[in-house]
Order: sequence, then structure tokens, then C-alpha cells
Amino acid sequence: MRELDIFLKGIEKRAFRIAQLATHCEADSLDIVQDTMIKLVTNYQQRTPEEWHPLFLKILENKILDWHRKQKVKNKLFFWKKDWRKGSQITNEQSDLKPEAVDHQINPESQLFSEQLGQHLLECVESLPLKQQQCFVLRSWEGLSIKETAEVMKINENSVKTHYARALGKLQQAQQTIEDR
Amino acid sequence: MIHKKQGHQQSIPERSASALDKSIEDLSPEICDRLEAARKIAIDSQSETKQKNKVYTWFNSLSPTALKPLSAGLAFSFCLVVFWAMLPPSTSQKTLNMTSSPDLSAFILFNTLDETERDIIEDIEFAYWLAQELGTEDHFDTQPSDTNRNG
Repeated sequence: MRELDIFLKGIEKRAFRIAQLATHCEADSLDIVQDTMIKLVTNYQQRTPEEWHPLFLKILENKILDWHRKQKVKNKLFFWKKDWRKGSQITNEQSDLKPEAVDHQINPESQLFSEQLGQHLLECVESLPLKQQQCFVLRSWEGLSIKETAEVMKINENSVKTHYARALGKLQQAQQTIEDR
Repeated sequence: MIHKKQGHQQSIPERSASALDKSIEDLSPEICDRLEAARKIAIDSQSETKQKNKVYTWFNSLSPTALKPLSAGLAFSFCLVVFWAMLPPSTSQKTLNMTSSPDLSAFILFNTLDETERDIIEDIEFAYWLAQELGTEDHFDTQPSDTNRNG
């Protein structure tokens, strides 16, 4: 019980950020994270703590996919309304993500550039296709191996490699663009 | 150009990961509170599930001893009722009606008799038929003779 609470406390913000990247909606992301937590607690509490992390990510990815499916149907039914990406809170997120702390020991100019680059990359990650985004986040941020990522995403390892390579290619392009400015 | 060189020091995944880490640090306190509330709800759901599981295990403990035979018995009796309902109505009355027909009653009677009794009946029938045949022949034979006599 206590272990599970600690685990959830440690992962909740990252999970929220992953959901937010995929959905672009704060409220829906919170719902997704809550549903994921409830499912993990109700169905997998007996599992060992080592198993919780991949299980949690698996549930989260499934919830995100479900959300996208529902959104697709909703968009088809209410086609006259705004597209969910256009009506999202990207502007708010961007304002939230502005770095505040600056390490003055490093060259401030390079620090600023680095932060801007990071910010720009984050925006690019947000704009990636869902599979590429999930693959990139799981591999580079959650530190999962190709095999683990494939298991979480329910795709084969070659697809993981392909998605990751494509995502990396797009991010490299984005980095090149900001460097050329 | 120094900053560009430093920008290349970190790889894209590392840079993205650090940017994501930073974005977590900058999450608003409102979102943090809501996440905490969500976590509490999830943990509370655990105790609810435990209670549900208790009821379920109690039900399961009953089922092999009492509920399964009971349900099987109920199912069997239901099948019997359905079968009885599907049977043609008042079979006994129908047999009575069938026996009222002379051919059928004869058929049923014939089936109930022994071989010797059947032979006897066949002999009687043959004798009856023969008598009838002879009677008709006599009738045919007598008619022209009568006319001759009259003539």
C-alpha cells in the first residue's frame, strides 16, 4: 500500500506530461492519469514493485490510444466544430514551460540558447505523430529498451526502431532549423 | 558561435529528456494538487476493491457446495417444464379418438393378438369371405335357371 503510493507519487507528474504531450489537453491528461492509477491499483497491486513501472506505462499508453480513438469519433460526429489540436492549450503549455532557473556558472548566452533549443525540441516532440512521440518519449525519457518499448506499445521491435528513427530525424531537422537562425 | 557548439554537446534525446524534466519542475501547483487528489482516489479505490473481493470470495465459497447443485437442479427442472410444455396437448384424449375409428381399432386389436389368435381370425375372415362368394355365385347361377323355368 505504502510502496504503491510512493511509486505513484514518483511517476504521476511524468505520466501527466506524457499524456499532455499526446492529448494537448490538461483536463483530459489528468483524467487519463487518474484512470491509469486506478487501473493499476485495482488490477495489479499484487504484482512486484519492479513490474509496476512497465505496467503503468502500458496502461497509460492504452488510455492515450483510447482517448485518440474517442476523439477521432467525436471529430467525425461533430465535424463542424474545431479540431482538437487547434482548440488545445498549447499556448498555455508553452507559457508554463518557460524556464525560470538559470545557472549563472555557465555562460548565460549558451544557457539561454540551450534552453531555447530544449523548448523548441519539446514543441517538436508535441507535434510528432502519436506513435513516434510515444516511442521517442518511452525510449529517451522513460529509458525503456527497444524490447520494453515494443511490449508497452504492443508493436514489434522493428517498428519501434522505425518510429524512433523517424522521430529522431524530425527532431534533428528542428534542431538544425533553430541553429541556422 | 560558442553557444552553438555547446548546443551540440548534448544529443537530441538527452536534450529532450532534460527539457521534459524541466517542464515537470515547472508544473503549476494546481496541477500538482489535482494529481495528488487523483492518486488518493486511486489508493482509496484499492480498499473498495478489497471489500468487493471479500463479497466475491464469499459467493465463490458458497458456489461449489450449495449454489452449483441448486442452479443445476433449477436448470434441469426448467428444461423439464419446457419439454412438458412442448409436448402435444392431451395425448390420452387423442388415443381415445384414434380408437374410435373402426380401422384403427381393428389395427390395434390385431396388433395385440397372438399368432394363433390371428390365424383363427384370418380363418374366420376367410370362411366369411368364402360364404359370401358362394352366396353370390349361387345368386348368379340361380337367376338364368329361374328365367329358363319361367320361359
